[in-house]
Amino acid sequence: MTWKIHDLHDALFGVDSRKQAGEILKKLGGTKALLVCGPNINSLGYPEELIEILKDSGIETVLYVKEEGEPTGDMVNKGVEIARTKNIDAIVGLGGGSTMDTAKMIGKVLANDAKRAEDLLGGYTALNVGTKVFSPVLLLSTTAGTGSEVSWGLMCENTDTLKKTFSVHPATYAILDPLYYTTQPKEIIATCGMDSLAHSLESLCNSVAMPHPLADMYCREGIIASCKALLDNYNNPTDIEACSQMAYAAMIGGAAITLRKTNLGHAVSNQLVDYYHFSHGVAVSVGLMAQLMYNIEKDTVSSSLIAPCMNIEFPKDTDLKIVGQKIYDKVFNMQKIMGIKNMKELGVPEDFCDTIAENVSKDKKWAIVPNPPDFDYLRVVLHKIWNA
Amino acid sequence: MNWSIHNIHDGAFGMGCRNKVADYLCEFNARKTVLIYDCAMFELGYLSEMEDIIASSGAHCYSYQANDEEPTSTGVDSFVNFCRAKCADSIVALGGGSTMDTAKLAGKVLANGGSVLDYIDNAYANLTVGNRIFEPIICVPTTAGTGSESCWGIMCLNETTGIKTYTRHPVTRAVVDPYYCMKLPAYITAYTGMDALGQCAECLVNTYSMPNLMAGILSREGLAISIEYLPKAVHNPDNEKAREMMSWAAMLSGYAITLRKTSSGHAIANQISDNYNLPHGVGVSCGMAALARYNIAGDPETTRIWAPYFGVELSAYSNMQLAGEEVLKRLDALQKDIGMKNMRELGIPKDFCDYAADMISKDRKWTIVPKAPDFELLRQCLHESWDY
Repeated sequence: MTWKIHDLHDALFGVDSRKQAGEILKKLGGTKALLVCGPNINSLGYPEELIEILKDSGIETVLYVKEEGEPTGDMVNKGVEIARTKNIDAIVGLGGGSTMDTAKMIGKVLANDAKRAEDLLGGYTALNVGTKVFSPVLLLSTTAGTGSEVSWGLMCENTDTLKKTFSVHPATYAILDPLYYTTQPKEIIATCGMDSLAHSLESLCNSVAMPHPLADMYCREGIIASCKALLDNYNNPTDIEACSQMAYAAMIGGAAITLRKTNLGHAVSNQLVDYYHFSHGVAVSVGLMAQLMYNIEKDTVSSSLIAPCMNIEFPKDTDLKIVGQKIYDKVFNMQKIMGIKNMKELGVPEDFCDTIAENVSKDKKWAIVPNPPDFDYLRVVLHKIWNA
Repeated sequence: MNWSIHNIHDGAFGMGCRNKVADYLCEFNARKTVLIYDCAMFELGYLSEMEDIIASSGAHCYSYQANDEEPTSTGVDSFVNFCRAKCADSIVALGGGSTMDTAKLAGKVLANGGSVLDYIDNAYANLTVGNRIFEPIICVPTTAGTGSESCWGIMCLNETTGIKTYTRHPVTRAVVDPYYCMKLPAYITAYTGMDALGQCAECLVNTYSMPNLMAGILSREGLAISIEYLPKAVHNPDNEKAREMMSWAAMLSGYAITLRKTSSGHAIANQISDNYNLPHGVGVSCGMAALARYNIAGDPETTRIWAPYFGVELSAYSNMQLAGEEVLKRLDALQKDIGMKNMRELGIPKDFCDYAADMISKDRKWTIVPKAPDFELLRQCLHESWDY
């Protein structure tokens, strides 16, 4: 068994850690930074504070407020144009996964001297295109979360194909200041928290197909941390400790999927985003239920790995299908408590379940994740959870 | 609670992965690679194979046999001079912790100029001197181990003061191939394994005084693996799984102590090494024996953390002191089982315990590790452990 460690770059975690952003960026060689954020974060005043922090360290900032929504090639290209015009030498991303992925993709385009983002969005089978790295990219995450601040992966809609496409570009440094998380709306806490859980859980489902002890360790820790902290964070959105714990869970999930990818849950969620433009977290919540329902019958090994992380005990001779059902029930209950919607409630027609299964069977993901599901059974599962 | 992650750098792990050295050298366009190796590498045939691997990258290989002792200031300077004479643009270290530490310290001197004493003159107070980084340094450990391949820490004897001194320089890539450990004699397997175990256990001692969640998971994982697999690796040297897991535990321990330091166990080990020229792991073993005794009365928090890993069910004990005694009993049993010797058996006089306690109370380590022990209690525990 051989496996690789992709570096988990430097990071700083803790209350008021954002105040060190200027010094950190200065040490990394930044003098003029493109600050990428979304409109919601901009309205909270965080970028203004960060601009001052950077200024105190002698760093000039150019602000780019990207449009609301998941990253697209157009958003990235606009940021690239600003960066080139203003001769920036550093990128700062302040926001959730979409903002951080946009920042990373801007870096990728700049470093590889590409004309457009689309030139570098060929998907899983084109990951060796554009491998130069832009540095520094400093990410300050404000949701918990995609873990994008420590993950080299990013998702960006290819404007030519209208498909959400995977690519890679690392950040240089991550800052996780729990203060940023205290202003998350409850719905965001819920769906982003599900993303965090899903990363760790789905990556663990690849444990046998893609052995990786470090990924296993992160996955187990991420599941434990997410399950422990998510409802607490949802019920106490301004509690710093609860925010800290979920930020940590999200970060660990991001570290896990850098080393080993997600499974069918995220493949399902990408379909929902592509067709219905739901936020990633909303879609992942659905995908996660599909994953867990699927595992009950078809992946009892994964159930046996996941259960201890959720404090679900089982004696040696237990029918693992029962264990899988308990896991499903636990996450289902969490989702209901937090008001997360199923596909029917989201307005997705039931026959779309067939489209999802069909498209997931053609997902290029399986070119790099040697653990594709039984697509016929996935179809059955999707129908089962459509109105669960 | 603020904490940082110092980058968990790229690496490769697994049987056969030693060929990755060539890939990494190509990644950095290495042309003149100095290969520093332990003398045993020649006899075992590992040296010529690694020379071939390096040559296959297109780099010219200059081989240098490391001194057969822990790094010293003059020893490392000699190596630095060799690297300078060859205009080395890359270093590969093939050996145990001493060889890898020599490579890292040489890298620091090469990147920053001067000589070794410029960087180890004032121990922990000098850590910000010489921040430039030499790369690539590729560490290929042949023991399991110090974890030096994944740790930025270095120990080197300052020959003007006679004190083993700490400094830092990161590795660029770790290539951990358990193949190299397969022929390790039982005694070396045991004491190098105790270093991995001790690093993880001692890192956990600082759980509350130096909170770092990443250090926590790394050290817990490493401790669990070490306790399970070290006896297997010692008694069944051909057990590939045991060798692989001990290599992994060592790597985890190196990452862990990069993020959060060791405790009084290593402080004791350094006294033994400084005064009796015994291998580091032998000293660590003595340090752990004293530390576990110390925890009984002096640190019930650590007993609570360690207990599950030693199979001690806390609920079965009416107080932490009793639980600590059971942890000690199991640790002593493990050490005896793998052939570790106590201080008396090593020929260390009993009055050394008083000297060691006195010297540890003056150790500059406590300027950066805010959980110094009760030195009087430590003295007593050293006496108690002298002939365990």
